[in-house]
Amino acid sequence: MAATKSKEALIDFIKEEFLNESEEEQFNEDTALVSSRIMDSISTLQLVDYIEKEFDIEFNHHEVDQDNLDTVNKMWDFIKSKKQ
Amino acid sequence: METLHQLLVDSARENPNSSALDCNGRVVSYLELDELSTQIAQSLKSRCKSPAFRAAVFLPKSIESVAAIFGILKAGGTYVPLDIEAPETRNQFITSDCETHFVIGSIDSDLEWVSPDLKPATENLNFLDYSISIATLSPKKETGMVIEHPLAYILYTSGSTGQPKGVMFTHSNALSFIHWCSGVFSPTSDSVFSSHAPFHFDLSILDLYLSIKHGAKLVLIDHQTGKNPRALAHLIEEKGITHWYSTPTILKLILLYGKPERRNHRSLRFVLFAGEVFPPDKLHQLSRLWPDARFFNLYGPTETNVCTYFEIPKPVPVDRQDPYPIGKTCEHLSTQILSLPSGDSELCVSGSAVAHSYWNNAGANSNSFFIENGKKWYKTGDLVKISEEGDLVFKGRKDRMVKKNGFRIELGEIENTLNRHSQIADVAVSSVYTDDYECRITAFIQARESAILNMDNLKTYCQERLPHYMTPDRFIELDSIPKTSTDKTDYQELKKICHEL
Repeated sequence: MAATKSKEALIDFIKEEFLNESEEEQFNEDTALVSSRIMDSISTLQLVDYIEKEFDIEFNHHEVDQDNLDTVNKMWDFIKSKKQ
Repeated sequence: METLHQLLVDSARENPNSSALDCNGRVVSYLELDELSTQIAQSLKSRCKSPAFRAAVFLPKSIESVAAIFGILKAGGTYVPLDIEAPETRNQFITSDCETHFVIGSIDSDLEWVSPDLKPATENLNFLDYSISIATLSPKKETGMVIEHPLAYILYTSGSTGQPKGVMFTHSNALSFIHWCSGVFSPTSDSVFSSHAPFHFDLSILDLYLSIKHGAKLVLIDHQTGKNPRALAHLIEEKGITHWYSTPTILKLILLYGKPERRNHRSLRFVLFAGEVFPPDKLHQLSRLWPDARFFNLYGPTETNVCTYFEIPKPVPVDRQDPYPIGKTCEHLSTQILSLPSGDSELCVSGSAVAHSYWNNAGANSNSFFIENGKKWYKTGDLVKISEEGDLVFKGRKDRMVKKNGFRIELGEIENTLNRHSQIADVAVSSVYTDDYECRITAFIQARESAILNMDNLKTYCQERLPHYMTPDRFIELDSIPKTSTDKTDYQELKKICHEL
């Protein structure tokens, strides 16, 4: 699995599923998604589902939170830590 | 006279050392909760001469928030629970509308919104491990409302005229509901109740007072945990919840995202839900997952708390399409069905649990309450029919109120908010329900001439002024809002557009 390509896939998924046009224009890997309420709680759950399936990892119940999900970079750090 | 706080005093006498509350593993006994609330009551009493004061509670779900509620009641006051997630302007409206004497927060910096121009006198109070902050306000005028029975709490709910309205409950209103619950849900001092609903939501009345009355344990679920289905599935197992009560939305999330099949949920005896339709296919799945639990569909507007109930017969057929009925009238209330000129039938409720009235709102009072043979009746606005089995079945609304995740929303309140936007010429808000009975709200916008409106920015505009559940799911710009021949908004036409989208 080429890591850079997978990060792109994650970004594409987020853009496709959760962002509107103006949010997409301003979006980068450090854009806050959860704390800014761009993503609501249901979107967050869909994202968790996606990450678990796509990257073959599992969130513990206390890991489903902003520290691991607020930005693409945070998600990526979490995925990498789970893969180690 | 019987009071809500007497339930706590009695349980503290009978089971002083039993656990009353568990909040993220922090546990207090009945004796501790009783003493803590007495200290808060004394602080409030020493600050207020008025025997019937109102105190807003601006605290996250916590041991302190429960202690504050009982402290206010013990001091003879009325509590007004606020949504700490709501925009400041909304909470400012509520505290000024019902002229609260106090606002109780966790630290004083949390209370700067209360009066931005004139910083209120706040004081931090420390009780052993706990600290709260009380802002003392001086209401401009006393409304002069004379109420024969002491008010326990005021719950604010969406109002069609553009501002929320306060529903007033006496101690005896709430107690008559709680005593009815005792007979139906068989609680004991070994029961473990969930407290999922925030205290500004009427579902919380059952959790809080039924649990305290029976000396049971109440597991307080904070806002973050409350929307994390995996954490909720874990919590039911870890705490051994016996009585669960929430909206169907939350139960659906646990089912779909909580991985409940990996958990041991055999402690569950009663699964209660209210506030919206539970899609039968999801109910089928959940009832197979929790075969030992009894499932109840509870129905009632805030003004009556629960007024009808229906126990779901098991097994739930896999192919059931129709939502379950709302059932039979609760034994402490009476209902009648009013025939409307449209040919529809509106459910009306009378009895000891029906709210006293709306706070300082003569228009809403005369629209919603009527007296017949000396009895006060509340018109629910809900259209019903009676099934062949004699159960009440919910058919829809006679007005433009909708339910989203159990919260009630007057679409007119959203329209009023958007109408105040300087670039908007006209607006109409419409809603449709998905196949899964979820409400989708669409705002149709007609911009002022030469105005350039970004629909995405309107989402932010609404989030700053309305509770999160009232922000429309979609904003659609139209050249003009469709009108009927009498120049009223053509909602039928808009509904068609919604369905086509």
